[in-house]
Amino acid sequence: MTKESVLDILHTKSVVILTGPGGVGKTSCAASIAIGAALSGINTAVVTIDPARRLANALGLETIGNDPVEIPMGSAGSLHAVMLDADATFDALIRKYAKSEAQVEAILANKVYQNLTQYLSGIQEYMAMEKIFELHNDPRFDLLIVDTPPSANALDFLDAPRRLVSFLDNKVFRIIMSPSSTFLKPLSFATRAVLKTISRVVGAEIVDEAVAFFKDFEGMEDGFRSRAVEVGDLLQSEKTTFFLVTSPRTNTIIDAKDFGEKLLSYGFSIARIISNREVPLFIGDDHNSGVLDDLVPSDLDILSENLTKIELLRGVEQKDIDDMTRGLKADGLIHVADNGNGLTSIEDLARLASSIISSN
Amino acid sequence: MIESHESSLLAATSQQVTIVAGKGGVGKSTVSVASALANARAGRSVILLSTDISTITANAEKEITAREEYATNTPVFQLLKAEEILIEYLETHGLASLGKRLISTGVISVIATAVPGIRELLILAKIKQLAQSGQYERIIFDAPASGHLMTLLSSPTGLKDIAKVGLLKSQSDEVEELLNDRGRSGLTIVTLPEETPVSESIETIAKIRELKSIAVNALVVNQRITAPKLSASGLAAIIESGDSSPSVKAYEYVTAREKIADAEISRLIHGISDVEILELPYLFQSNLSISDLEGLKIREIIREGNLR
Repeated sequence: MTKESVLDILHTKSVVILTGPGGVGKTSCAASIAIGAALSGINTAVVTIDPARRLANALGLETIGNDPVEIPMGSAGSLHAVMLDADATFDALIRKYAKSEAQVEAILANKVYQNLTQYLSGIQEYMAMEKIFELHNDPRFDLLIVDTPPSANALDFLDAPRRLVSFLDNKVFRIIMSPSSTFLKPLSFATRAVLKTISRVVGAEIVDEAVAFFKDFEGMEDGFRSRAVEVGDLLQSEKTTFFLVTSPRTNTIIDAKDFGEKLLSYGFSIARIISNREVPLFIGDDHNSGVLDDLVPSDLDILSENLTKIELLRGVEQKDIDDMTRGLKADGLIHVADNGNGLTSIEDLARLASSIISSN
Repeated sequence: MIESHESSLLAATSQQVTIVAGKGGVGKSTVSVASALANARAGRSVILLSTDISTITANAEKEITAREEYATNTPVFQLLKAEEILIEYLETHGLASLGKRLISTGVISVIATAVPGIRELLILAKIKQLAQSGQYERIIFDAPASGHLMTLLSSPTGLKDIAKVGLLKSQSDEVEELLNDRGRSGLTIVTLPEETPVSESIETIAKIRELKSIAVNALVVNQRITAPKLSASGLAAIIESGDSSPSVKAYEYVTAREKIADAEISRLIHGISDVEILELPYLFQSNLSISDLEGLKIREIIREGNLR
């Protein structure tokens, strides 16, 4: 069987999710792949979920919002960028599933809800999934390139829909909300005891706010639950694939391997590993060089010692990344060399794009 | 060139409690572990806390057991889990059985999810308790990546708005007091001399100052790469020649990276005031052993240097 090329993947998939540890350059890779896809004639949107707002910088834009912004590339396919605004996305979901305007107002005014969008860890992930789903159904886009938020754990992202549902499904709070449950009587003592404990520990007001929050949410869980199932289905479908981004440094590789193993344990396969910012390979032969003949011995020593250090480091990096690729049974490995200059412009991103796209 | 002079890793942990923060992958654990080891070697009792086990921490913990210099004064490594801290608290207050029920009903996770910052507060409360116990002269907390730092630092104040009584209220007050006490606690931010980490550090420091909470003591620029110095004539010959032999290309690569690092450090110097800026060298290694960490020389970057 001939292996799919990166270009094949971009042409056949609808959602490419870039995952991996923090600080490895996921955002730049996502932007580059999106540029490459657009240049190849695919109508593409790149979604960044990173609160650090890096993609805007990389694409040379002042702002990218919750709604897709077109980046004029003059490319065969269009390129849009979206930066997730978790607050706005969550508010929109509430409006969508609420039964009445009063319910919308009650939830938006609830202190727990307000804090939820501001502070809850994992909220970025919940809303990212929602946004992906929404954009997936947007006829303007054939392909979504998704940059995942920096998290210690790949599960944060994959688990997001499930976690939101189980949060909304909590038994104790369901019982409190339940208007006339026949189960209420036998359970109420235990429930009251639990609530009393919580009140003693966190203060009664928090319990009241939490109860109010769940009451306000009543009737909306079904909407969220079926949405979570749909989002989960999209992730599991043939249309979605994962690229695992890492740097080839030992510690990062250990974390990346962990991400990869979690993906596999969820039944996802890894279409590509991107080994970003590798120490470059300097090919050639010093002996045929003209300038080296003119250098004093001490300078020659410095140069050769420097080259040795770099080659040694490159050797370790390449071995580690190869081991990881084998271990995770990834379909392919993309090497991206560090150019020493960073990525500062859209041209740099386009260059990176062509090296990613042209790789097998 | 940016001037610097050698300093001690101890400078990054001058108070009893130091929170080490920064975005993912910048080397928080490297700095935390190296500082913990330096403190232990200086004869101080030290505990290193973290919320997840990093490779570097796990390796160090294993390696030090075989090292004589830590035999009498062994740094303690401890993992902090919010749920466990809460259960421990309930147990010491005679509420052990209710604690178990909180867990079995899943209420604890709802509360922890619904109440912003409660996990963070529990972790800070544990740190505060360790600080009050006086058991350790240095408490180093390898904090989660910077996205969560604001939640962590704002948790005491944020929760006070919601909780007027109870455990949260009293813990919030005490944690806030510890964070505000510049003699007892401080924050060390770790960054890399690269564009996004530098921009984020500048932003993070501005946000922390807005919170008017913990003092930012030091900013550690990790992996500062330095190109080896050729003679002036040798350098000129190389530049002029456009030679493409591997050793020349490799030299140009390291020089290009050094140039970026210099530019980013000068951006830090101009973007941040009143914070000591330290740097750790880039080691041409993929993995750091405990002896690499012990040998790490931290350098203080001199602000009034001759910046180009």
